[in-house]
Amino acid sequence: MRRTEYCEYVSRYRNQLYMTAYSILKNEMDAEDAACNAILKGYEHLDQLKNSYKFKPWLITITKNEALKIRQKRLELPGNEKVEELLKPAQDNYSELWDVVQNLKEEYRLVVVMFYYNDLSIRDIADVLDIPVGTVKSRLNRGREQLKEVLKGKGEGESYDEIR
Amino acid sequence: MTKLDKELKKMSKHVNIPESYDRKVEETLEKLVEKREIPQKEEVSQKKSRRKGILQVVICTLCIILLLSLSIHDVRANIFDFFQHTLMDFLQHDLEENTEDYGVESVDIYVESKPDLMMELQEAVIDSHNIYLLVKITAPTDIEFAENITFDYYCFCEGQNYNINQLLSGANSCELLEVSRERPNVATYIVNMVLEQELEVGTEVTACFKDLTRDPYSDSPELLVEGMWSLTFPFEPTVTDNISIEGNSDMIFPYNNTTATVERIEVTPLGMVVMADISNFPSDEWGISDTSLSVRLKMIDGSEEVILSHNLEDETFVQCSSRECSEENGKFYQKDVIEFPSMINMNMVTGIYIEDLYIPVRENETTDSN
Repeated sequence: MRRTEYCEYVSRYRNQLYMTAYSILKNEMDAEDAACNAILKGYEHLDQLKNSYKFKPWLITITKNEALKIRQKRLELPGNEKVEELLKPAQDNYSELWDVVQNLKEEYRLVVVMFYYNDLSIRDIADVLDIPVGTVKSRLNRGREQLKEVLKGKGEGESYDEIR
Repeated sequence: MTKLDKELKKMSKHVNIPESYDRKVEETLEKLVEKREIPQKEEVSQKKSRRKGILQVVICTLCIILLLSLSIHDVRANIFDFFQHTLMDFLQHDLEENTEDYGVESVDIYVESKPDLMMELQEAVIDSHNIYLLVKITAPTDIEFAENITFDYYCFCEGQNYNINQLLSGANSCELLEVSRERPNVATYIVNMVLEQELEVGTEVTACFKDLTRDPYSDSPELLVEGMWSLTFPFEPTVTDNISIEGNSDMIFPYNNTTATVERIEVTPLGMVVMADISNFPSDEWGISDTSLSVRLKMIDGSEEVILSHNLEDETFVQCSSRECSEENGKFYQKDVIEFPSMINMNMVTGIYIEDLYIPVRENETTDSN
């Protein structure tokens, strides 16, 4: 991939980088920083990308790693402050499904975001998260079941029963 | 994809991203356009990766010396008495039939790993895209194996040790096959991998396992034995019977409002690979348009086995599948790797349909495109 094409590809997938980072950090400013750091890092390491078709999972992997670094730094704050208490809550104008997804357990949340929001294949998700395909499938299944239960509780259950 | 999946995908499109993020991304992209230091950065990163490589070699050498100096306890579990427990049985092969009819054999291998959790690689069935391993595990006596006990993490690497840089993608499952009646701390697992990349025959492959855990995917997993174990074996296919078709310019089929050409097809008793030249398809449509294929096997009795279908409701003869795209010499290729849920008898296959293109596998039939 040429560096001139890089910016164009980043523009195409920018929202997915943000959503990945937010799912890990649950904080808007940190998620923005992680996504932008990933964009810079991806540019610097563009030569490591062997296949332009793998651009999206590759850049999402970098974003995930940048988000984890920021989270690790948070945990190292002096006085062992409970950083989660300082986090800005999610905006009201996020979609209801997004809010429900953010309340899933992290291991299910990441897989659900990558599958439904980032449109990654099961194989690509396994590569990004460095877990086996079987684990991706079981976490996705559990995440899906939890989403169904929660959305049912919010009064949208009938529509999903009909869909089934 | 189920209807719930489709609905969730539709709902996932409606997420408002903060405007501050858009501004930050624009600023970042402007910085990149102004960037002029790329050649220097590339030189620095090359030097750093060389130093890292030397460090990794030194650490691996020290680990090997340390391992060799440890004593390995030779523990052999009793063989199960009442039935034959081979991979052929697991792959739904009739034990009374001759394995040569299917062109598949299992190879007995005996490989040990370190104590506290003894792992023995007993059998392997390998074709160009599938690996099945039969692994016998002996745990400490206070552990009784059950279906909800497996490894928190497992993977395959090229080489003799765990190396994240040599990770092979495709680790699929690690399932309990059976538990010894006399010793419930001894069990046999089937580990499966669907290879997406080509491996040279004779390459050493290492299966790695980490942390034996009860209910690893539940809300409260219980760590039973902490540690990492590995089993190294040579990648040598045991599947001898396969159909291999090299494509040519006549093998054209309709593909998403354009056409594609068969590059290569391989069918083994365990699965198949379909590789097509899709250079006519616009690359900016990837991830947007439906690029599914219809693939069917025509059997000698006239029936057809549906392998891939455009219709999500169709029942397909697929355990799992994956797709990979690549570019080579200016051409674009799509490769579908499919694993069958059970072995098929290759003698029963007379032809392959890719969309409406028919490719015979027996000489007295002809290719036909409707």
